[in-house]
Amino acid sequence: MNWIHLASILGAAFAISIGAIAPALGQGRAVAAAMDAIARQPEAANTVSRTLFVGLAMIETMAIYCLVIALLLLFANPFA
Amino acid sequence: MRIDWWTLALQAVNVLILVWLLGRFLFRPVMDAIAARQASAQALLDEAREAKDRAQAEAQALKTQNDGFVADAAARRAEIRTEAEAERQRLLAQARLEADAVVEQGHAAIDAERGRVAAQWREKAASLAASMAGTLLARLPPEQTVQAMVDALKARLGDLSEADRRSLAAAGPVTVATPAPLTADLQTQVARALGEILPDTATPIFAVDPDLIAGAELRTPHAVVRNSWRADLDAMVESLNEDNHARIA
Amino acid sequence: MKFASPLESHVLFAIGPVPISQPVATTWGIMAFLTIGSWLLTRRLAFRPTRAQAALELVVETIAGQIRETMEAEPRRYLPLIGTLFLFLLVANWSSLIPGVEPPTATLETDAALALIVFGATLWFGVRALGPRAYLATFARPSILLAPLNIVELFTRSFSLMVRLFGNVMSGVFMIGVVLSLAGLLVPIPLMALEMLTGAVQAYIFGALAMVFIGSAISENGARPPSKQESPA
Repeated sequence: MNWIHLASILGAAFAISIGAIAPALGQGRAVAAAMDAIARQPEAANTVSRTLFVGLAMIETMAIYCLVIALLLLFANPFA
Repeated sequence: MRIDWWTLALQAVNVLILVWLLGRFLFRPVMDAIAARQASAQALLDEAREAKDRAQAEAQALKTQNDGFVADAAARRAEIRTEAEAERQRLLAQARLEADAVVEQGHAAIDAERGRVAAQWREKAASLAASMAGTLLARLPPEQTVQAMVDALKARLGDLSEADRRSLAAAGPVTVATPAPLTADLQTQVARALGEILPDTATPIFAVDPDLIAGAELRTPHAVVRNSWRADLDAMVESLNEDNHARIA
Repeated sequence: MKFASPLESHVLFAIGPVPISQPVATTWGIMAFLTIGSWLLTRRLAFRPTRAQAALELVVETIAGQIRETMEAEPRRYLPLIGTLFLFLLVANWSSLIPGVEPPTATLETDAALALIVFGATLWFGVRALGPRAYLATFARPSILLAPLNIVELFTRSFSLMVRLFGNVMSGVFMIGVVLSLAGLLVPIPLMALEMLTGAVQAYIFGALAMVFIGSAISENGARPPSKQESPA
């Protein structure tokens, strides 16, 4: 195990951690806003929740990007 | 990491083929089926609307017809009512006429009855008067009464006009009727008196007629010279009757 | 503990010079399944729909309605592409439920191929709807200064389309593999349920984004319709 492996593992963990925190915040805000909207307009709950799911998936994609980077670092490191 | 270009190309081709296949086998038939159903539903709706329009038109026609029937019935009813009214009027008039006729008949019957009763009474009165007169007369000697009556006859004959007297004489045999048989003396006296008044006559025949009560009458085949109480009573009753009638009228 | 790299796909066999990798074979299976299934279902379409036909028509009608709403165009021309993308992605994502089958969308090449098809379809339909000149002119909106940005966006959004799908499906498969190697029975079931939900949502998102891209290409107002355009990348 050389230093590149070490840096890759650290970088992967860092990418995952950042990629978990930020989308979690974003998803929290999105869910809160959706709850607010549903509370205001219960009759629009269907539309709101459908849009919410799509939005959550979009935000989730951020975390997925980080995961892809981490996996690249771990399994397909171009320098290792 | 490396990109497997063969896999990429094959997957792209695969997906394009799948697009074609599903378009051929799934989407086109289903869309066609949906379109066909929509078209048929549209046709059905159009047909239904058409049928509804037709039914409405039919209902309108029936309504018009019905209105016609109603108007017809009303006209007929009015006609019948008019006819019935006319018939009623006719019947009423007829009934009134009949009633008038019945009333008239009743009046006539009442009049007739009254006349009959009056006649009966008159008759009774006449016979009563006759019997009363007869009874009263019986108290007198018969010669006197006969004498008086013969005198009255002579006076009556004398009152006649010359023409009457002549026609009386020409009438033929003369009969002198008295209630009681005349004595021979009186007979000659009467014959003589007659001869004076009616010179051309033959000898009179003497007859007895108790109905006369009192008096003497000269009778020829064509004429009668009345001179008796019976005739007088008859005349009086007659005049009484006429008075009565005049009073009723 | 050593995991096989989720970024590599292994070749099963070769037809002549062409190596056939595992996702290609799986895709063939999915193609056969979809084609035969749809052929069987649409073989006799009755005027009075059976239960299966009603369900099929419901699916197709829903996709067509989505196209009509999002693209504001008659769905008949775009329905085969969009519908096939959605159905293929759904079946491919859910194919991980079959033991031993790795979904073809968990490999980068399949997702790249799909993104490439959407990219090509965007150009094709845009040119076909507006003509080459008018379509090129849409890149200069709202200002000619933004033209390079618009062109870069054309590629980046396709790239993000690819990576989003790949990351979601691959991470799900990878996660299930890790948990399976650790805990074995029953424990991966919630993860598999989540994976099903993710697969369905990703299929929907991929189809919706393809609709948005093509819709913005065929509309006169330029490459930015108001909704769902903002692709994170």
